[in-house]
Amino acid sequence: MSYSPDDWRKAITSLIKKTSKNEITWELSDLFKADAWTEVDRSYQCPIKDKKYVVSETRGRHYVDDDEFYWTNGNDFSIFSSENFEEVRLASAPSDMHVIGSLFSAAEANYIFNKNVLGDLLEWDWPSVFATP
Amino acid sequence: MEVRSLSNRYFAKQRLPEFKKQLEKITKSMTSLSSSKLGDLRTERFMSETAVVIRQITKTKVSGFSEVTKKAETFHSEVQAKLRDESSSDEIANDLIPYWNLFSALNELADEIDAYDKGAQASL
Repeated sequence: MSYSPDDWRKAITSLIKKTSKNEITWELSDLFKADAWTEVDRSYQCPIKDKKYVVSETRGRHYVDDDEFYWTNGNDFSIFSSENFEEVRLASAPSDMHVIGSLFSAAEANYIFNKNVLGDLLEWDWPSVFATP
Repeated sequence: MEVRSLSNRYFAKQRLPEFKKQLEKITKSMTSLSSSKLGDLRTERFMSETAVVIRQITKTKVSGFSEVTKKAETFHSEVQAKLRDESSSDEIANDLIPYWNLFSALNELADEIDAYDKGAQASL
């Protein structure tokens, strides 16, 4: 038995569902390390039970010849678990699944919302600023 | 007969990247809208956009898509029926099962388009 792409899609969709209900919160993460041709721009992790779910935005170099390349955007979803005080990667979702991009934007929105980035600005007392004496 | 299949293939090649982009846009907005009430979703554009994209993808006549487009169509009409129902306008989209079924069907469709693109490029 192994997991089909459909199982991955369902699992990731349920993560998105939980995220938008704010049942889980995402934090910045540096667990995910990509290969030599790929750079990780940003990644978020969230712990559920004994596993950590990490979603990342990546940039990959695609070489057209020996030294010329172009960048391609991608997303990655991996599952980590700590064994003997060390984080081990258990699995990665099949690459190029579109649902991972949605999960990333949901995680990002969840992170910045819980960080209250706009809070100070929104609580600003607007009427008194514009009030004329 | 042969000409028609060639022209279908040309049509698919021309239009599919655009459909994929549109699907990505729709799924992104579905993600961000999932915590809003059904009553507020009625005025959102993604439902009508979804219907149009599904219909257009059906027109490309790529046999591999038909199963997923049918699935997406069913879920779409289920969500639509729920949106029309006045009594459920206070429910949250997040709790609606067809909403997420439609979401994952659209994602699957985008993945299928990717797979088709790769196959078409290899057969050139």
